[in-house]
Amino acid sequence: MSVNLFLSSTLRQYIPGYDPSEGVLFSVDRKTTVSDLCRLMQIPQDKIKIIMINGRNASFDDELRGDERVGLFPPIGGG
Amino acid sequence: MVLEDRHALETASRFGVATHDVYREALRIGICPYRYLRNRSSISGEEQLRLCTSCVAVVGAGGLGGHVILLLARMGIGHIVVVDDDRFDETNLNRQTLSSQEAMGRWKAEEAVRVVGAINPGVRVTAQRVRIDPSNAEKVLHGSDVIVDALDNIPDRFTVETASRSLGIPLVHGALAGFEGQVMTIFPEDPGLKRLYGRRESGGEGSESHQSQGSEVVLGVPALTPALIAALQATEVVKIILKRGRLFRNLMLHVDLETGEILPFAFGETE
Repeated sequence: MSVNLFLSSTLRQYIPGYDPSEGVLFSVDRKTTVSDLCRLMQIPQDKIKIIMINGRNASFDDELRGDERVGLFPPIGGG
Repeated sequence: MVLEDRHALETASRFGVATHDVYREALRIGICPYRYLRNRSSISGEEQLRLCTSCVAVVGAGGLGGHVILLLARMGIGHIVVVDDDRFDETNLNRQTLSSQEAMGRWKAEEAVRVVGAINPGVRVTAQRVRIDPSNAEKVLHGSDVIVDALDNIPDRFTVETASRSLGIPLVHGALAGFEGQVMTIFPEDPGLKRLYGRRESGGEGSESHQSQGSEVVLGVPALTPALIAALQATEVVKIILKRGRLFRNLMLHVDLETGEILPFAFGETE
């Protein structure tokens, strides 16, 4: 099944050549969790503060079902 | 019937009252200050009066706060309390709209009073030249109808949120890093900032929850992003006061200027 991963701000550095308009489209096995996805993409979990699946708040333990948009966000605090 | 500034100033001088008082009393009897004429198709006279009798505390008078203060002043918010304990320096000039070459070294809160006074004498601006902390937050923010979080670090944002809950005052949060930013409106009963930054008490020293800054340390704060985030924050303030539109409660409105996307990301209403 396929998942479209979108990364915010400093998380983009973990995927060389990341295109913020397209995100990253890739295939994962059933039962893959957000946590598995982070390991696969080598994105440190402690850098992620917010997880969104199809625009709704999710957690590292949530399993993906395919055809989803997964958004990962670090904390931002500038003003 | 309209009221031009020169007449408002003359009236204020003659009766020994503030221009703000003249504006307010004019609006009460259906006279529109001339400067608000272009608002009228969108903002009714009754709504303009409600803005005029409202008080908004803006915490932080830097990149976000400067724009928020000027927008609220032009909208006609009657009283703006500006909380900031910093002075302008050259690194502010790239984005902080209250900064200028002549303002270098001046206190930001006091410069806000001067700049707004030159734009709209019908707005009272109170400078609070203090660093917000748990010992002073409630005292400083007491009496506001809405509080704006325009700070530049995460711990102080939590301090303001705690005070806003105790006082029962809605809070409009905004933050940015690089070309991205976020806005969230937090009512006292909403989960609020822990949705964005994690639980304040969950981490130990050096944990993500307690770090003072986020991605902006790496990505910086270019001029374009605060202008848009601040405009969204100021709009939330107006919507709260006028009870209009849909507020960004229990969601993060995420803005990415590079992709042109402004997307709401939903959180649940409970823990």
